[in-house]
Amino acid sequence: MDSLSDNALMLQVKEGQLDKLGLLFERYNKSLYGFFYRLTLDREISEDLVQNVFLRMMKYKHSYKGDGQFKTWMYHMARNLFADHYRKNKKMGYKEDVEVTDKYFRNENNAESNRIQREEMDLLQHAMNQLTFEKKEVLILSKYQEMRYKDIADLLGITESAVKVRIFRALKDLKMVYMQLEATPSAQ
Amino acid sequence: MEEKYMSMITEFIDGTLSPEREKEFHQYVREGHIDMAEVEEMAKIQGVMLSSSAPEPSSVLKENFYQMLNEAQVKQPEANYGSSLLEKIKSFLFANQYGRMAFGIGLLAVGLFFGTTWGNNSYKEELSDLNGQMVEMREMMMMAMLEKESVSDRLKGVQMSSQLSSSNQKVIDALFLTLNSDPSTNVRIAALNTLAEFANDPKVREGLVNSISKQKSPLMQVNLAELMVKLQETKAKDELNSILENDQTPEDVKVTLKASIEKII
Repeated sequence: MDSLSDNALMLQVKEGQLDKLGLLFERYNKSLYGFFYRLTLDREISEDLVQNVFLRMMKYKHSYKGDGQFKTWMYHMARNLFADHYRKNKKMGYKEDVEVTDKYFRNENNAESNRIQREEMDLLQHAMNQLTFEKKEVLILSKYQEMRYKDIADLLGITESAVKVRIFRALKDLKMVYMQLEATPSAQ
Repeated sequence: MEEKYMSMITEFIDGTLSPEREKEFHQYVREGHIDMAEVEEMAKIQGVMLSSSAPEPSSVLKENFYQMLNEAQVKQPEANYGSSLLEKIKSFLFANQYGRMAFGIGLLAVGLFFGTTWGNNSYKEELSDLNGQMVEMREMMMMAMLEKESVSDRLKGVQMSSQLSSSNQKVIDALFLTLNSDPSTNVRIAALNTLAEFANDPKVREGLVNSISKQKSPLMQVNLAELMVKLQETKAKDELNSILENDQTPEDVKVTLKASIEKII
């Protein structure tokens, strides 16, 4: 079954073989969850949003043409759902929130096992939360979701070199904020 | 800094530069267009990012997804008809025996409604007769649905059975037949879920334990094991152990089953 491409599976879903959506879910639920979780730091909201992505895939399966990357189509829906969610909650600001950050670390068993890594991650999460949404998103897509520059470009509707420039600027900002936080431990 | 250097730095840190472009990159470093110390700091922060563990969703996500998928599969056939509502009702009611039976049940329901609203006590016995007939008809419909070829029809059949009382042996037998021999895993899971609701009945429990050895699909084996943990059914241990000893059982299923057996005290 794994030999079937995402595209082939989604085309079968389009033809009415809804059970094939289960295979796509198995392939992508964790990475989609990671995408939403890193944006929201909220377990429940992230799970709801993942569920809604698959619900939307089912609803709009007729519009799937199979001419582009399935992953790009999926992240299109994910981004739209995330935008809808924030419009509804009127929470478009990305200010640092100590409580939310603490919650993030309570949920990361791995981070707890290593004090140094935990401290670094703590700082990293604070620093990520201080970036603009645009920069935070491009870093998540490129570094965590492991999307290629071209796919990010298609998703965001910009050129490939604009993607690379945006990643550079985001990483540079992240480094700057991270180093500032590192120099002033009381800020944590 | 010019944007072409920014693009290049991103690619350098990601390790996607071609050998020629990498030469070019080092040339820019030597010429002072790119500050290598800054690039190294950026690469370091990227390293911190990549060393963080991926957040894992809870099991609720999976449960909710498969529930949604099942519901969508059940609804699917109706959604495909392009005909008008009236035609749908007409073809449903008069095209086959199930439709006619449904029509009969509908008439009985109307009768019952008017009977209970306007009737007097002397009709009570007749009403309870009618009620009994209605239940019988539902059972017949359910069993007919379970034998249909379409997976979604059989799923509907299982759903209908959950509205019937557990005391009827015919319903229980039909559900067990489905659980042990239906070709679709989805239908078997639906039958298992319905039977789990009747698990207070010792006969049903026994049937469920016996069904363990009949299941070849890992998904069913795991689902049954989870149910046995919930019911704390000690008799299931032997059956589960025999699956564990089977060489053909996949390794990850064995791990799950072992954990389940340990949870049954």
